[in-house]
Order: sequence, then structure tokens, then C-alpha cells
Amino acid sequence: MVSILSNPLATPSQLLANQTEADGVPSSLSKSLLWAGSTLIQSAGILLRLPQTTIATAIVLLQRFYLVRSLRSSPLLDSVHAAVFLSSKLTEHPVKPRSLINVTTYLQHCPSPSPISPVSDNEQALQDPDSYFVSEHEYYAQRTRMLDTEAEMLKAFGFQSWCALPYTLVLNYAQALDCLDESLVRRAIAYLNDALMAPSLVFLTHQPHMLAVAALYLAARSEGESGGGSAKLPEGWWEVFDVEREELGFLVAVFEGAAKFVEEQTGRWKRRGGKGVPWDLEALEEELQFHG
Amino acid sequence: MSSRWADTAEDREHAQRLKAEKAARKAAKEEARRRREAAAAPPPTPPTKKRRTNPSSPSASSNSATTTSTTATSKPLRFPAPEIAACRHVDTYEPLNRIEEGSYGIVSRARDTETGEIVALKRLKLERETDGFPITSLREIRTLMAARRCEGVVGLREVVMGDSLKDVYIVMDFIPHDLKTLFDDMPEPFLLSETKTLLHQLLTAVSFLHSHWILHRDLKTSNLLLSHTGQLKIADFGLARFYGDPRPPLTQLVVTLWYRAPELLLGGTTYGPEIDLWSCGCIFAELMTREPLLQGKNEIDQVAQIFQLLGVPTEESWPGWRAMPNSKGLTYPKTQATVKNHLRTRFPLLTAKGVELLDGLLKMDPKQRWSAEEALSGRGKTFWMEEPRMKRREMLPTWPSKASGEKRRKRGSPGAPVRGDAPVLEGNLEVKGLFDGEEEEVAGAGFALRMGR
Ligand SMILES: Nc1ncnc2c1ncn2[C@@H]1O[C@H](COP(=O)(O)OP(=O)(O)O)[C@@H](O)[C@H]1O
Ligand SMILES: [Mg+2]
Repeated sequence: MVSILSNPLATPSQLLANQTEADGVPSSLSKSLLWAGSTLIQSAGILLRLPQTTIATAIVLLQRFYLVRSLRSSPLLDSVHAAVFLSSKLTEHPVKPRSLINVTTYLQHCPSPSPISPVSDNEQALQDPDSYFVSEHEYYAQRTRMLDTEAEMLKAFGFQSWCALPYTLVLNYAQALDCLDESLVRRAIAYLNDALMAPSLVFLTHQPHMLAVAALYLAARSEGESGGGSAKLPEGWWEVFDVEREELGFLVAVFEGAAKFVEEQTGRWKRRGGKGVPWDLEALEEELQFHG
Repeated sequence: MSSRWADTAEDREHAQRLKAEKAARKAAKEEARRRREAAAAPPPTPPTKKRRTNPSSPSASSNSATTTSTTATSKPLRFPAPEIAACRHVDTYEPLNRIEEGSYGIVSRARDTETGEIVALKRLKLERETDGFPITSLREIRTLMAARRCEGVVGLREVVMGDSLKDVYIVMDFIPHDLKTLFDDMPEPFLLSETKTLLHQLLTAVSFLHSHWILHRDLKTSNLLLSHTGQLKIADFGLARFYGDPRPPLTQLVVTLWYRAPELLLGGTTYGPEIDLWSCGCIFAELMTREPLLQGKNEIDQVAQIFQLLGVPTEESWPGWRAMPNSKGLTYPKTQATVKNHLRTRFPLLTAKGVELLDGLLKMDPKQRWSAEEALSGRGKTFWMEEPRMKRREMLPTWPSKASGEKRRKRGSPGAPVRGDAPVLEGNLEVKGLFDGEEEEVAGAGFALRMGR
């Protein structure tokens, strides 16, 4: 599909004035929570059999939302629900609120299906199916909050829900450069998926064509290093796709850091004695006390 | 041996350079196209330009109307990207008068209190929604946003909210007329030269939509606006959506009955842009007569009227039409009269090329129906070249605008379909009766067409 719109981007002042941090949440916790929310979306999306575009769109929506809202006033779980629900409609793969809430509840309580799932030191309780049973009452409460948050999201973006993604561009560019090769493309997509989770929010600061070029650049480089089908790309090829060397350099650094960040985060919540990610406001306040 | 390798490497490098150059040329062309499009685009709407989210204020409404500084921070961007910024409050607009209450929303005229500009506000009906923000409204906003650059599409300015989250308005440029209301005021139908001006604009806009993968799905005269300078604008994207290739199954419940293509009436779910071209055919006829072409009382009557005008399809004229879900129950007589196409007699004063274009747009088989491109520069081209030539837009007559006034007339046409179950043409419905004794009427019912320039 031809994209005729640019993505709305974050302004530097928006990036500097992180609402959550202004609200007294330490930067590292704030970043980690955004990562946890994105990871919950990713895992829920897989269980709901949503396509990657729906999942990535939801993550971008979540990031855009917390660019202008605070985690301390807009609870993470409700925003995750709203982001997936909205994205599923935007990408024409609508999910039922019931399925969505069931799936996220399961992921929050059952050990190990996702990097954000609790660790199983409390095996008995966690494997108890009752722990991820959603009562009617609880379901309606969560659903109402999800729908309110959805409206809040649309309001916060001024309804600019446009979200072009770099995934298909990677394919197009690889083809244009005549290096369309499965393992190369798979590597590039993996770089993009890590970058999507990175705290530098490159999906909010750079248009998709730049992200695609950076991913392809790194993929080609690591293909070359691993000795596999090293398609040597022509000198300065990124300029063909409208990306300058400095921009590419910046993105490459971010992309390289992203994998490490993701790894660290996984450890962070797995370590914490079974308490897990603070999904609602109450848990967040508790977490803040623990931190402070 | 080594020299051979070097050669190959050099060859490869050369080939790669050629490829990169080719890619560069392609990208440069694409870039030039984007620049052209960007240049053709209307200037950024005031809100996105002026508004600046105050980063220290988490409240969306408090920062909206106040700050107007444009402290553009340097960004390595070649194309202006919109900012992520909250909705403004509907209070920014001072209400003037209600224009029309349609099927989905309420449209009113309003003044931008900051710039004094007159706009149209369409309130989305969300009260009864139980599944969050309706997917149809999301599509309406997104398709309108995506088509903003097309001069033949009504300009979307922004989306604003009232005090409640259920209070959402689309803000558009105000366009004084819609064609349907205009017909009620015109003493005479449009001249052929004027019809051409309008139809050409319509097809050009439709071609833009389709080339950007947007289906409108509710083209009809009340959704076509006309500016004081004779510019036609497609409005009401309430049923529009993006489509793809391969075609996804879509709801049949689209397009107001009188403008609905036969493949929809017969229950097709994998339809495509052709349905919009059918509507264009109906609109073409209506421009010449001021009367909707096919005014069925219900789905089955609509099918009957189509067959009456164009003849019952045959395996040659529409291969496979008998396999359509709703055509199985249809019975009809097979006489000379029922297979005959009456377009010629219905529009006796339209030129042969005009009839050919109308017939191309009203092909019952969607595969044979002309695309917007075909109608503009393919087989339809000669129609635009021949006399009478298209009038210049500015030369179209002008009328007082009802939309700017206080009162609107009631509509006498069916509305756009509402969400619900798609109709099924059930049982053995006799289409036959509908032909009885009507042959004469159809043949004799040629609408007069005023010729001239
Ligand atoms: N931008 C506009 N400027 C002036 N009038 C408009 C505008 N948009 C809509 N209208 C008027 O309001 C009517 C209904 O608007 P429309 O968008 O078609 O809503 P609905 O979905 O209710 O049919 C139109 O037929 C037209 O007369
Ligand atoms: Mg309408």
C-alpha cells in the first residue's frame, strides 16, 4: 500500500519533558515500564494471532500516548488494552475486548510464556488456573477503563492515528538493491523489532524509510561478518533512499543498543521476587516506594 | 585465475553500481512526485502549524487554544511531519447554523474564532457505541486525512472534541453547495458542457482515491459538494475504507440503494473500486436530468430497474452472474425486450461518445466496467475532446447557498445503508412482472437534454 502520509513525530521538547518522569517516576523505571507494556502487547498479539503490523502499530500508539501522558495518571495495563484494541481496528483486524482481556490476564499470571510473565517461585499459586480467571465484574471494569483510555488516546493524538511501518520498506529496498535474501531480511526485521522496544523511541522520531535503511544496513553488515551470502552493497547506497550518513550513524547506534536493553529488561522483572511488573496504579505506587 | 576473479568482482561492482544508479533514478523520480504532491497540497492547516503542545502540561485541553508560538526546532526531515498534538476543543468554533442531519452525523456551519474562517463541523454519532470508537468513524477520519491532498476531496482541517469523550467533530472546509440540494434549486438541469466539467472532476477525484487504495462506497449527489468557483469535492467518507490486493471480503451493506452496483445487490462480498464507478455512472445520468437514474423501492426493485434499463445479463454480458449469491432465486422472462439496453433511447440527445461512456460506467459485469482512468484517458477520452467542450469551472453558473442559510429542505431519497444485516433477495422473486407493459414506458421515457454551451 502506498503511504501518502508521513507519520506524526514527537518534537524534541516532548521527548525531553517526559510526563512520567516529571511525575516523579525514575527514568529507568519509566523506560522499563514502557518496555514491559510493549512486551505485553507483543506477547498478547502473538496469542491473539494478530499480524505484526497490528502489534507494531499498537506499540507505537502506546509510545505516542506516554509521550504526552504520565504512567502515574494513566495506568499501564489499561493503556496496553486500549492500544491493542485501537490498533486492531486501525489495521482491520478487530479483536474482541473479551479475548484481549483474557489473554493479558493470562500473561500476567501464568509463569514464563512471555518475558514479562512472573517467575515461578510461587509455582503452586501461579499455575492455579483460577489466578487468570477473569470474573464478569472484573471484565466489565477493565473493559470500561480500556474504552475510556481508547478515547483518551485518540484525543491525545488529535486523531492522527497514522502509523506507517518500515517492515515492507525493508523488502522493497532489499529488492531495489538486488539483495533480497531471506536471512538478510529476517535479520533486518529482528533489528526493527528490537528497535521498536528501545527507550530512544526511534519509531516516534524517525520516518519509516530511515528505520528501514538502518535495519538493512546492520543486517547486511552482520551477514557479512557471519560470512553468509555477503551481498556487498554499493558505496553510499543509503543516500538513494534519502538518508544521510549522520542519521544512519545515529540509528545504527540506537539499533545496536536496543538488543542489549531488551536483554537487560527481561532480567529486571524476572529477578524481582515474583512480584512482577506494576500494571496498575496501586502496584506502581508500591514499586515507587520500594525504589525510593 | 586471480585475474578472472578480479574481473568478476569488478563486474559485480559495476553491475551493483548500475543497480544503485537505477535505484537512485527511481528514488529521485519518486521524490519528485512526492514533492509535486506536497506542492499541490493545501498549506498545512492552521491548528497543526500553530499549536504547540506545552510539554509541562499533561492536560490536553489546557494547552490547546493558548500557545501559538512556532519555535520550529531543527529536524533532519525533508517532508513536514505533523506533530503529535492533542485535539483542540470544539469551543474554538462558533456555531452558525445547522446544515443537514444525515445518517451518521450532524453537519453545521461554524466560524473559527481565531481566524474568522467559515468551516463545516460534522458531529460523529457515538452515543450508542458500545465497542469503543467505531471502526467506521476511524476509517472516515483516516481516509479523509489520506485524501487531503486531492483537490477533488473536501479538505479535512482537524478533529476536535467537546467536553465529553463521546463528543467528536470533524472540521472541514465549508463548501456552499451539495449537488442534490442544488438540483432542487436549479430551474434547468446542467448543460452537457457543464455536466462534463463536473463529471471530469468527479472521475479525477475517484481515480485519485483508487490509486491510493481508498474505496468511497457511498458516492451520490448529496455527497458531492460544489464550491463557488465550480470545484467539485467528494465528501462523506462515512463508509469509505482502505482496500488491498488480494481483495478482502467486505460488507455488502454499502452505497445508498439507488447508486448501488449490481454485484452488491446480488450479494458479492469481494467487490472493489468498480462499485464507485457504477455510482459515477448513475451520477452522470443524474447530472443531465436532475433525477436519480434508478430509483428502486427496495433491493429487488432496484435489480429489476437495472435489468429493465440495461437488459437482463447473459452469460456473455456478465459471465458467472448466475452464481452470485442473490441471483439464484431470480426468475425473469427471456424475450427481446428484456435483454435490450435502453440507454440510447433514455438519453436521446446525448452524443454517441457520451452514451458509450455512460454504458462503460454502467457495465453490469464489474470486470468489464470502465475504471476512472479508462473513462478519463482511455476509451472515454474522445468524449472529452468532442463538442460541446467542457466549460471552465469558473464559468459554471452560481446559485445562492442553502447551506449558509437557516433552513434546509427535507430529502426525498433513501439514506446510506446503516450497519446491520445485509439484505438477501430471498425466494423466487418474479422480476417478470416488472417488465410487463413497461417496455413502452422505458423506450418512450427519454429525458430531454438541453444542448448548448
Ligand atoms: N464540508 C461541508 N461544507 C458544507 N456542507 C457540507 C459539508 N460536508 C457536508 N455538508 C452537508 O451536510 C450533508 C451531510 O453530510 P455528510 O458528510 O454527507 O453526512 P452523512 O454521513 O450524515 O450523510 C451533505 O449532504 C452536505 O449537504
Ligand atoms: Mg452523506
